[in-house]
Amino acid sequence: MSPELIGLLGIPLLIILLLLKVPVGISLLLVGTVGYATIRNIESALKVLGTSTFNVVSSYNLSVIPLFIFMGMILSYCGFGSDLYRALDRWMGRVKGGLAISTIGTSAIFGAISGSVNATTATLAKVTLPEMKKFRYDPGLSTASVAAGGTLGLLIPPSVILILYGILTRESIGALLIAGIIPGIIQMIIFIIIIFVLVSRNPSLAPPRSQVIPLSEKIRSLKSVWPFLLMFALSIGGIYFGVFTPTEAAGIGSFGALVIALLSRRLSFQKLKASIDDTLRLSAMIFLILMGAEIFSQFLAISRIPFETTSYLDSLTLNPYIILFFILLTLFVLGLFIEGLSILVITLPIIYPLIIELGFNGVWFGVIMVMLNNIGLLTPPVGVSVFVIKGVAKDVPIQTIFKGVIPMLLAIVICTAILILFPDLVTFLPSLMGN
Amino acid sequence: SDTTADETNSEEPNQSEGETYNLSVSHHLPSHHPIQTEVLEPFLAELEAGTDGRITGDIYAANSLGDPSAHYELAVTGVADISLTVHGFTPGVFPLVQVIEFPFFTKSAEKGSEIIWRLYEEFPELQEEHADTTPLWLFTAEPAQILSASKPIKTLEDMKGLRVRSPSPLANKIIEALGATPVSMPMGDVYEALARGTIDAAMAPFSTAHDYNFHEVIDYITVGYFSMTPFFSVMNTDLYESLSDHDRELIDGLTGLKMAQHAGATFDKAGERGKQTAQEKGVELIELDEDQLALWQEALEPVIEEWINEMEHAGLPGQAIYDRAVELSEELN
Amino acid sequence: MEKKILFISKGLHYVAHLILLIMMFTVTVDVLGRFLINRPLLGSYEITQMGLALTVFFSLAYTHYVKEHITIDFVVEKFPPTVQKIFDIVISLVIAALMGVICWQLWESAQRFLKSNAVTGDLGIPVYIFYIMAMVGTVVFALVAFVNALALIQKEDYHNES
Ligand code: NA
Ligand code: NA
Repeated sequence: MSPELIGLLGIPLLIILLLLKVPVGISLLLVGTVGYATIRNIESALKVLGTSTFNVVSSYNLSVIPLFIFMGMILSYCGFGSDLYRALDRWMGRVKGGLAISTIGTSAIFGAISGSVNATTATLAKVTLPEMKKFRYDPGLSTASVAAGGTLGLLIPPSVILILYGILTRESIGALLIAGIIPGIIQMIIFIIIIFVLVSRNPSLAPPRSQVIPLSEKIRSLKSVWPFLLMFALSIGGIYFGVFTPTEAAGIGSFGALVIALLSRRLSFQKLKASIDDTLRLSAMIFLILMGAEIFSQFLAISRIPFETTSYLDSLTLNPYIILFFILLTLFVLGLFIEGLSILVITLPIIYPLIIELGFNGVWFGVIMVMLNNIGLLTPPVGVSVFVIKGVAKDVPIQTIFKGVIPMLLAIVICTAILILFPDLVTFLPSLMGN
Repeated sequence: SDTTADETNSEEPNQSEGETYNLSVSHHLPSHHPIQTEVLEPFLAELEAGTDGRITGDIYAANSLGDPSAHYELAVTGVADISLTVHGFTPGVFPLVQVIEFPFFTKSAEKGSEIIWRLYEEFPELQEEHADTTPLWLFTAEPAQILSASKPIKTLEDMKGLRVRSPSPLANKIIEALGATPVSMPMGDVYEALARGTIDAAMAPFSTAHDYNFHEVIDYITVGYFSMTPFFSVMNTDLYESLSDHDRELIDGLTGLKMAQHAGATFDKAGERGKQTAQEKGVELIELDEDQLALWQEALEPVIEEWINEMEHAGLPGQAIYDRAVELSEELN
Repeated sequence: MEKKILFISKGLHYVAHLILLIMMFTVTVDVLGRFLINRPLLGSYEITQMGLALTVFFSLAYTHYVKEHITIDFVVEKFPPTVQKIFDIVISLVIAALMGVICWQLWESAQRFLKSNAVTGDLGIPVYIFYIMAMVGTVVFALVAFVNALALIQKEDYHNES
């Protein structure tokens, strides 16, 4: 068998293992090792297993992941998330669908300091759903706004997916993080408009509230917003102005979050332990996949599939946008069934060289991949964000949530189209960084 | 490497007869780097021509088979058949190779490469460091200069308190001895660090001014021909020993001193281009005069002494190899 | 047996807790040192780097125990419970075997690094030490998976817990 054929067989084999509930990281390790051994020999494959698994996790640049997740966990466990929600609610309460809009706003700000979409979504669901239920919001609307809001965290820095994209493609992590800001804001605005329109057309989705909140109380509520702004300015500002590397920003950020939590007397030993515990379990989950991804992509590299695919598509001389369309379609279909991180590591070795060859910007494509990832988070049968919310909102049927997020999916598609038509929206901020 | 046995015992050994090999060659540089296009690719082409296409190779650039720090291992374990990278990525494994990192041996990588290869041939202890593989050739990049973001460095005094990017652990000590603070970082991060003032200067060769676009973020280059970074190109020993006599002789003939000099000369060319680019873009070159150089050399004496002591303490011929390096550099310059 | 393994995997996980805090403080001290006294912390790069490796290897087993390694279960969910149970047992045994192989290969690497004197760049700590610590993580991961398989075999009824 030729290396290319073995490489081609590896991909369906991987998908079969995944569908048989073999953990993603383990599936990648198995297929990667067996494929490597078939193309080269078993000794080499074993040796790759004994060095690459360690090498991929002994990485200074990857330390950014647990450190940023830790920063978000501390602020979440110490109750800063719910404070933030209450503050926004004071300001937005009387607008149509105000609580749902506050949920989006809280997600944007909370997502801004959290690296993980699951952590953001779970925290937000716990904080916002009971509140919206109290004011008799439609369960479809309230769960959908949490689900949509959670995806913002992957655009607004820091974002684990963008960091991983940077690691896998060697694009600048700093530039990728900064690139997510404008798309994140656009996406947030589209979500808010959609909620506003939905509630205007059907006011029963979000019964209006009559309580008037005095300005003094509104202003007082802002007190709880500053830790977020401070952490964001410190870590992301530090990256933007080149004061810190991403890893340094994450280290300083988690230290800063710890100090804020201590000073506001909210940190207990239990909460610290719980934050670290969550951080490590989430990180171990991510890194097992990364170990597998490393072995799997080395297998693909020696099969020369990425190289052959690129040169084949190159020889067709199709319009780059047609190829882009098919790439996005593939990512969409995969996103129906497979969780985003895995899609990233499975497809990037093949897709990224192609994207570069077609003349697209690598940082821009990272953001586009996040958009596709966000669609996958909300679509059945495997919609991770919907599952997380279902875990909190036990009384809402899962079909109601999936139905409720349909307008939000539309919002993400619109935003993706805007970013494809106007790539400068993504590349503008990072282009300012260098000078 | 996949092999297909092909028993032949003809009277005149024919270059087209024997086992076929498809070598995997791994290095850490980008695929458009002259070390790939002007050294590795022609080397593989000659191998192919010399065996009537029996020995071919695939080059895996930019770490696609493993991290820079894993590259020596790649060749030790046979994951790659040939591996080329910087010795310093695997600290501790090659103590004696560091001798070539001391400043002022020569102004050219071609000569630096000849020095390190001749030292390799003369010192069994240096061969011992590479003994888990079969070295094909060793070489050096062209000597580093001091690339400064905004401060002209004209004297040793000017180095005091500056944050300077260091290419290796030994260079850390050299930078400290010059009164500056060393900051270790990979070459890929230096552009940003210079642009944003995370570091004030970088110890790096001329070629980087062009290859990494450093000319955009520096105002001055202090020309002193400091540290040279050693590189290896090594083959998996099991593979080498499995080759036929004909194939082994062919490879031996293509490699060694000749290839070391060629790889060094390739770096020299890249350095010349980098120097030109920098000058065209308005970067000012500051040449250190003899008196200044003497001061810098003097500042470095304790580092050299410390290194020699350290080697001797570990039972390695630090003094002898340093003296011989000085001798060779005088011979060649 | 099961309790002992759980105890060990939790213990390793707590060591990882400590290492994460050390990583955070190291990076902070490094950055503050650079800004305040123009002195970065020597070795911060490799402490962070090796710290990450150890936190990951030390948390893998416990993360498996709490079933948080990502799986895709919407297909298998539709199978009869006995089939699901057999799948789970086989997968657990495969994981145990794979971790055993990785552990063995880490040991091979550790021996090579010991022989070649590979050390970390700034602090000069022998690299093989970290490989041996990583081996501990893989052994415990293998044991957790193995014990999980045994428990499943002994269990009469099966219902999906994930
Ligand atoms: Na975020
Ligand atoms: Na989905």
